[in-house]
Amino acid sequence: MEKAPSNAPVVRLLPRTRPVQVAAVYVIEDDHSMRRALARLLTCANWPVRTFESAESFLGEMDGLTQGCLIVDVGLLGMSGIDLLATLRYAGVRWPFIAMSGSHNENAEREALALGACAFLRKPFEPRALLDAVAGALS
Amino acid sequence: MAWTEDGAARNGARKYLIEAAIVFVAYYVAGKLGQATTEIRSSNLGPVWPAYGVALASVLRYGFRIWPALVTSAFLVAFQSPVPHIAAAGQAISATLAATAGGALLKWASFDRAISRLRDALTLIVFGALASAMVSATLGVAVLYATDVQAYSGIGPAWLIYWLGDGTGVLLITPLALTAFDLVKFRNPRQIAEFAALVFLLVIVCLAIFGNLAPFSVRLHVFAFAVLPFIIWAAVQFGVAGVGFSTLVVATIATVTTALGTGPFARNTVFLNAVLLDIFFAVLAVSGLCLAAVIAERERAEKEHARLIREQAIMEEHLRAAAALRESEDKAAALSEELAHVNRVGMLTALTGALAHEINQPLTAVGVNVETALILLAAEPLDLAQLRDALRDIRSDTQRAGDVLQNVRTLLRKTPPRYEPVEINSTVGDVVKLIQNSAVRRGILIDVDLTAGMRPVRGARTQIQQVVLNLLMNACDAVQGNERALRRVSLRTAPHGERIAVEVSDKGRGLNDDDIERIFEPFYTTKHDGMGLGLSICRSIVNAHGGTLDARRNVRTGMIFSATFPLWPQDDIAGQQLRQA
Repeated sequence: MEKAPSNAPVVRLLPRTRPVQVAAVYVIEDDHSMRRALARLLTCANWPVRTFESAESFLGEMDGLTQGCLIVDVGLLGMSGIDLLATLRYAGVRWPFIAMSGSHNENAEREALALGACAFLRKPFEPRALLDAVAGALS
Repeated sequence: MAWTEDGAARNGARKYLIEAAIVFVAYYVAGKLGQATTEIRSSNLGPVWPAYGVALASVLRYGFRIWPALVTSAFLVAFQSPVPHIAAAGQAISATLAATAGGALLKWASFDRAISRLRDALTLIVFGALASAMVSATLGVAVLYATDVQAYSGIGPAWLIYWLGDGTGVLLITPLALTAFDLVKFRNPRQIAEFAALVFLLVIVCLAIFGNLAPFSVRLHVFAFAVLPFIIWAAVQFGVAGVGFSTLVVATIATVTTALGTGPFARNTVFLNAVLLDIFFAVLAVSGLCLAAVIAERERAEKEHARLIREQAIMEEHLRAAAALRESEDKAAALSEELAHVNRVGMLTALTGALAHEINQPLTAVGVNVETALILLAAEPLDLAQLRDALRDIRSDTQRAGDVLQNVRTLLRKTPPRYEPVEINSTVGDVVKLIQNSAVRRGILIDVDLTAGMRPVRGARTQIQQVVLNLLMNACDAVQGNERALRRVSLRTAPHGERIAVEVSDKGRGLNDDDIERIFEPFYTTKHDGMGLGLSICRSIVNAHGGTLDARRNVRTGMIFSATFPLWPQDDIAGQQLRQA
């Protein structure tokens, strides 16, 4: 192997540091029973969970939150999940984002993935798939 | 009314007198000017005879009726010159005759007084300056010879100088006289200033060439053409009138200075000088006139072109508007079809979409809670409180999903069909009208064969229409791929025992046995974009009517869908009355 020329970009291998505190999961869902069900499932899976009724209420409290994974219904009333994702990305917030959708909407799916959502789950989804997505996002 | 005619006649007479006076004075002045040059030179025949140009312009401008003014003025001019009276009279008559002949020639050649086309300039040069001046010269010299003024020996040169004088007179005077009003029309101060500059410079150059103003004496004839650029300038900027005025300025200065014995044309015999001057003037006038006419013609062509483009644009606008109208009509037709389609499929799609969304939430929540319960059950120690909560939520979500379905059911039950006596032919006829436009556009012919005089059926008119529309649209879709001659769909109504059958048949590819068996099942479709609900809904509608809907293969190829509806009971008087109303 030839030695790379000195002006070539140097690949730095940073040591991977595991977060000391387990990152939180933030569920933003306007359907009451869905919100309860998701909170219960994630709690049972040992994730610290906080739930929000709307994107607006999440943004209002976001300053006091530690970094975490968002689980967001794209069809939220008021500010939609896609709008929230776009707003966060615009503000430079790169927290992992899992989108859910109750209706079959290819546009929303394409947009969410383009904005860097790590998963798009169509309801009804396998609860296991959600847990896997959260684990993957926070690993 | 008599007084108005009288007034008009008086007005006409006054107008004629004014015109005659103008012509008389103009001819007299021009004649005197022409004679003035000859007096300077002490010769009877001047190089330019502007009076003939005035005469021709008068005929062109005011018509042949102006001849008395011409003949009297010409006689007066000749009378005051040292020729016998009889010769003067002859000259006056010959000039008038030649001018009217020239006018007739130009009129015959459809000469336009504006001289804004090259053909007008050429017509004036050929018929006015060459031909009519020849008539004038021939008649004039003949008169002079007959009255012994002109000896036979010098008759050739006399004719030539007579002809050249009258010809240049036409070239120099007639265009200017016909278009002089164009010069008066200048309103733009810049244009006036330019014209003044042109005339001033031209006068300076002319005096330099022909007079004694130049520090050196101009001896070569060719230097005289130094005025040509000014003529071109005049032609480009001021048209025929500008050329006429400029050449007249040159001619005046050149003639006067030559007569006074200076300039390049004063070096030979009087005769040769006159001929050379005439040729010089003729070249200037012909070039300038043609150039001005060509420019005017081009400007006119450009204006015409612009006008045509404008008109074309307007025409295209109209065409576009018409096309847009047609398109909007087409769109309206397409829309009516689309609406029918939306009625048929779209409502179902929207309904299923809403249903799916409403049921999705509780269903997902149930799934999540079940998963949670399973996780909780696997954990040590067992968290019974959490488990109970999860199960309670499952119960409420199941309840919720059931409620959604219950709501839909009551929603659908809200419109129970009201069965009435329905006249089947007009009912299906309306459907054909609805679909006809789009069928024609797709090149599909719908044959309609309705049996007259049938009793009404018992049913809901709009529902029966929905069934027939569905069957017709399916049939159209089936024959869409056929060659044009075979894109035929037929609709038939006929009595069928105690029912009436509505048959829709097509010559499409048809269905195989398996398809025919399953075609009425929900969500079964043979179309790549179909929902598979149309025929199943149709059959449920027809069955609700107490009728039947069946499919069978058509002769050779294609399908026949046959819907039957029961007749309205004959003894039902109210129904009969309702039908008749």
